Amino acid sequence: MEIIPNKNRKEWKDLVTGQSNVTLKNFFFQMKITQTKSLIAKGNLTIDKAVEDVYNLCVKFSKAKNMSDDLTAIFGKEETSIDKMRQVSDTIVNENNELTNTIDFIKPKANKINSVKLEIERIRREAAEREAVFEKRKKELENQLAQEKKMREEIENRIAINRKNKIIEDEKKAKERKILKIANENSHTSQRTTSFVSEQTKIQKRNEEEDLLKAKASTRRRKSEALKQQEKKRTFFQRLFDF
Amino acid sequence: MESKLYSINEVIKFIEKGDLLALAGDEKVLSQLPKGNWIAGTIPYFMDIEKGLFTQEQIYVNKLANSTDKFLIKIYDENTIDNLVNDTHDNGFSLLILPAFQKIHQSYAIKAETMDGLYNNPIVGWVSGMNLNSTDTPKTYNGLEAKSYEDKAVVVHVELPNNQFAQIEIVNIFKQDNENDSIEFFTDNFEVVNCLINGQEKNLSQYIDDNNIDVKLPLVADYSGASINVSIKNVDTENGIVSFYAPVFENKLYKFAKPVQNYVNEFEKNILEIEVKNKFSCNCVLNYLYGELENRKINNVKGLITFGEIGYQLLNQTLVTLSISEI
Repeated sequence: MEIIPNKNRKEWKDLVTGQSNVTLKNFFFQMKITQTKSLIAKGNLTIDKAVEDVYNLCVKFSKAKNMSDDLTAIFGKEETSIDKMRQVSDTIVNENNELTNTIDFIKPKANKINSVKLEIERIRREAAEREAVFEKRKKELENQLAQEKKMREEIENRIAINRKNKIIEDEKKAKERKILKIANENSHTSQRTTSFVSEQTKIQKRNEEEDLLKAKASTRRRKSEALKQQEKKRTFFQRLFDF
Repeated sequence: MESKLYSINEVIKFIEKGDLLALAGDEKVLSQLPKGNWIAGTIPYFMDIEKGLFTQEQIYVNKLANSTDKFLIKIYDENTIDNLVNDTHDNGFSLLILPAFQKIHQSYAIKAETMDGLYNNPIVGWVSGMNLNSTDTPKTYNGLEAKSYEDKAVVVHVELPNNQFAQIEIVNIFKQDNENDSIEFFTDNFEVVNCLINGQEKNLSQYIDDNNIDVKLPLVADYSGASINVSIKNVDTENGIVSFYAPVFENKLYKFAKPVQNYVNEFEKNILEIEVKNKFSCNCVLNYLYGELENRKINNVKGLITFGEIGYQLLNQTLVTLSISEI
C-alpha cells in the first residue's frame, strides 16, 4: 500500500481502541498500538490524539518492513486505479472541506488576532513614547549630573589651591620666623661683637694711651738720661776743669 | 567495519579514528580504553561469527556512525530517564545501555510502558552484566570521559539523514501456550505475590510449584501480535514471592510459553525473517545458558549476550536487532 489511508478512516479509530482484530507484523507498529490502546483505556489519551500520533508515525515509517502488509490488513487490499483515483479525489475533497472548516474556524480567531495585534501596536506606540520621554529626562539628568560634577571638580580644585596656598603661606611664615630668629641671633651676636669691639677699642685705646705714656715716659727717661749724661759730662768737665 | 570481537589494541585504533562506537566487554578491558566517541557496557558473553563464547580479553564493537555524523551521548539516572525521548533527533535512533539490577534499570522498565514519544524513533539497547561466576558489578561507560557508572544509563542519540530510517526487529522463539492458564497481575512490578489465574486470585509461587512449571520458560504477553517475554528470576515459595527480570504489567494478559526443544533451530528458523545485515544485535544470556549456546553457532546471528534487551521497552529472552534502511 503506497498511500497511507486518510486519518478520517474508521479503521484508525478501531485500531487504537482495540476494536480491530488485525494481527500486526511490524514491531514498532505492534508496540505503538499496544501502548496507545492501554493509554486510551486508562483515560490518559484521547482517541483523536491517538489516531493523529499513530497516523503520523505510520507516514514516517511507511517504508519499514511489514508496514505495507499491516496497512493492507487493516484497510484492505489496494483498489483499482479508478478506485484509487476516487479515493484520492475523496481525500482531496475531504481535505478541502477540512480546509474550509479550518478557515471558517480560523477567521474569527484571525479577526481576534488582528484586534489583538492592533492593541499590541497601540501599547508598543505608548511604550515608545514613554521611552522617548524617559530618554529625554535621562539626558537632562545626565547633563545635570555632568554640571554638578564640573562644579564639584571646580570646588575641589579651589579647595586644593587654597590648601596649597595655605601651606605655602605657612611655609612662608615659618621661613620668616626662622629668618627672624636668625636675625635675632645675629643681632645678639653683633651686639656682643660691638661691645667686644668697643672693649677692644677701649683696650686698644688704653694700650695706645699706655704706649703713649710709655713713649712719653721713655722720652722723659731718655731726656732724663740725656740730662743725666749731660750732667755727668758737665760734672766731669767741671771736675776736669777744677782739677 | 564489521561488528565482531576485537583486541583491545584494535579497539584503541578505532577509537582514535573518531567514529561512534558501541562497545561491550569485561570491565578489565573497558577500563583501559582512552577517551573518545564511544559508549559501553560490561558483558563477557558473546555470539561471535563462529560460536557463542565467554571472553574477558576481547571487546565487541558495533560502529554506529561516522565521526562526522551528528550524535549526542548522554547520561541518565532514575530521575532524569524521562527526558530520554526529548533528547532524540527528529529522525534517527537511540542506543541505551542500562546497568543490571539497579534502580535506573527498573525505573526505565516501568516508565517505558507509558512513556510519551517512546516510539518516535527506535530505541534499542541492552542491560549490562558481568561474569556470572564473579563478584563483579555491571557497569556502563561514557567514552567521552572514559568514565564508568554502576547506577546510570548511558545513551547515544544518533541523527540519520532524511533519506534513511532505522527500524527494530525482534526474534522471540517463545510463544504463548494457549493451553496454559491466563495470568493477570494487580500492579506493574518486578516482584509479585498474588495474581489472577483464570480470574481467580492465587499465589503465583504456589501456582508454579503446584503445576511443576519449568521456570526457564518465560511468561508471554501478546502486544498486538508481538510476543513479549517476562523471564523468571527467582521463585521463593517459602515467602511466596516470584521475582522477574522484567516487570509484569497490570493491563496485560500473560501465559507461560510453550517449551522450546532446540534453541539454535528455533532462532535460525526465525532469523530468516529479519534484517541480517544489522547495525546492532543482542540476545539474552538466559537463551545463552538455557539453550546451551556456548561453543555453538547460530547462522546469521552474532552480537552481544546480555542481561536484558531494549526494543523500545525492556525485553527478556529475545534477540533484538537494529538496522538502517534507505527510503
